[in-house]
Amino acid sequence: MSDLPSDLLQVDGLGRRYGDLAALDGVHLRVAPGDRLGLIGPNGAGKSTLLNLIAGSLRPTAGRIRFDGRDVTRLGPARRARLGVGRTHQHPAVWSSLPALDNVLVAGRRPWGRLRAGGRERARELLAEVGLAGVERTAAGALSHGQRRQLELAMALAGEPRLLLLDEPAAGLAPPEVELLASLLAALPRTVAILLVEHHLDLVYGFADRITVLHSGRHVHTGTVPETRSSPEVAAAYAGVAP
Amino acid sequence: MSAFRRLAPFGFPALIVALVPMAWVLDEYATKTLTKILVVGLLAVSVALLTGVAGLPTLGQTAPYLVGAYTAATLVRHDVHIGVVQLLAAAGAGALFALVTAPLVVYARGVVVLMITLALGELTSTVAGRWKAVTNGTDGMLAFTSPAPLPGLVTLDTDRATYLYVLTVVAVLVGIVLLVLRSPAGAMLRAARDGETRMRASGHPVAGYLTVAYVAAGALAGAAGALLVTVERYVSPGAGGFDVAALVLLAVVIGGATSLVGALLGAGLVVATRDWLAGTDDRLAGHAPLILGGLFVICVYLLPRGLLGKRSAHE
Repeated sequence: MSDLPSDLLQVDGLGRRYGDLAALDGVHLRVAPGDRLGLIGPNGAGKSTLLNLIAGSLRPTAGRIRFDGRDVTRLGPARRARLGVGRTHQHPAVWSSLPALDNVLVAGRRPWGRLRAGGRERARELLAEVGLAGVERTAAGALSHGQRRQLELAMALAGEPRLLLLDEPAAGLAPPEVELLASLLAALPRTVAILLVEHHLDLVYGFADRITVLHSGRHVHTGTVPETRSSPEVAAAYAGVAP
Repeated sequence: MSAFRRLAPFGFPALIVALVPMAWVLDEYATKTLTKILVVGLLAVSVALLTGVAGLPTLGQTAPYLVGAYTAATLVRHDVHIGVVQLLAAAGAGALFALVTAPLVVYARGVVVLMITLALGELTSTVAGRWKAVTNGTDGMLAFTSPAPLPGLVTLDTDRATYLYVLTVVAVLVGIVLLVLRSPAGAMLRAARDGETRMRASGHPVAGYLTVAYVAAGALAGAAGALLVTVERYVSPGAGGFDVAALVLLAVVIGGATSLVGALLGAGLVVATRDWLAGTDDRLAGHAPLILGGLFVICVYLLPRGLLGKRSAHE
């Protein structure tokens, strides 16, 4: 895969093994600034593993990750976040005892507490944008699963990432909430590149510029939405057949 | 917002205001007991800061407590009789001890923290018993001369004066900690306790924050050690033994680990039970551990989050 100097994220030969099991094997990926990349594949394809490896919460057993031209393969998640890698989790990670607004404020603070530009006002805006305007003072632990997912998205955005990793943001959301999520994602500025892992294929097809498909830990396909829809390898992967 | 939450910020000032006249209301024994409660209470606040706020359950705050107490006693032996100087030196020594031991504590979680801090506490108590040249070994160190709180003030020669001095120090130190915890720093510490994965994903150096909390708690415990010497005029390794560590953790659990005022009240309950109730009533004499155990069981069943502990959002 060619290296473009403009690539924000470069993933080369990335692998993660658990004993004899290869959860991810020799995956290459490129994300340019402002890119919208969908990452799909059946259960066990290695999508979340790849996301966790890029975010730094898992260490690879093979391969290399570069972010903004810098090798970040050995950096921990906090260092990567400070460089501009934001994320949400498959199971929304919020701070239960803090009010929703404080969740966004803390997530938006720089290390050791300094507020980013906009501070409290920006945090309120983000809550409103994700559809949580009325629950600012509600403890995050008292929110519904869907609301917590929306809250974590606001928290990730508060950190002003240049690359945002979204791990199944539509899981557990009601149809109106998925619609809200789709319009929110569509409205995000192109200053942030987004890598979206999602089972909700309509959401991915409506959002992504390109789509990468994984199957059994291996890269199967990368292409535009029409190319992906018509790809026999993708059809085979989703039919449970090794492509 | 519930009335309880609205009134919460006034709880600590109200408690301190209510405690001031006790210096003239109570007899000497009760005044002395209340003074001891405040000393143990300050130690309990340092435990609550780590256990309830930062999420590091500890049995080892007796270590910086002992370090602070021996520092203050050593100063008395070298004719330094200014209370604030003793306090600052003891707090500094407790903080330094915490800074040195922080790498052992802040990367561990849960029961492992409890075991590591227990080991630190026991090790410190053992060293205090063996290092005769510095600590006078198991005989302990006498520090007879009462300090003056500040240069030019009268010395603390009466139980009432000592009580008022200790109350002032505890009010100032706990007040400062409460103010810090109401600031963004407190929210960040609670966030680290609630979910450090999300903290890291937001770029926050969790170990750094926990180190600051651990060092601050060490300074508080060290200051409590200085107050112990002011009150008892003596310190021995037993002042920081396992029974004290367990008693303080019990006070924190009963008071509600997430509440510093709860830790003070918990300390009041356990010390009063041990020294006063079981000490003055003939039928209860010698049964303090049994009563404290019963108190703990009742508390766990009826008030699982303690007297003032914050209810979770799901309750």
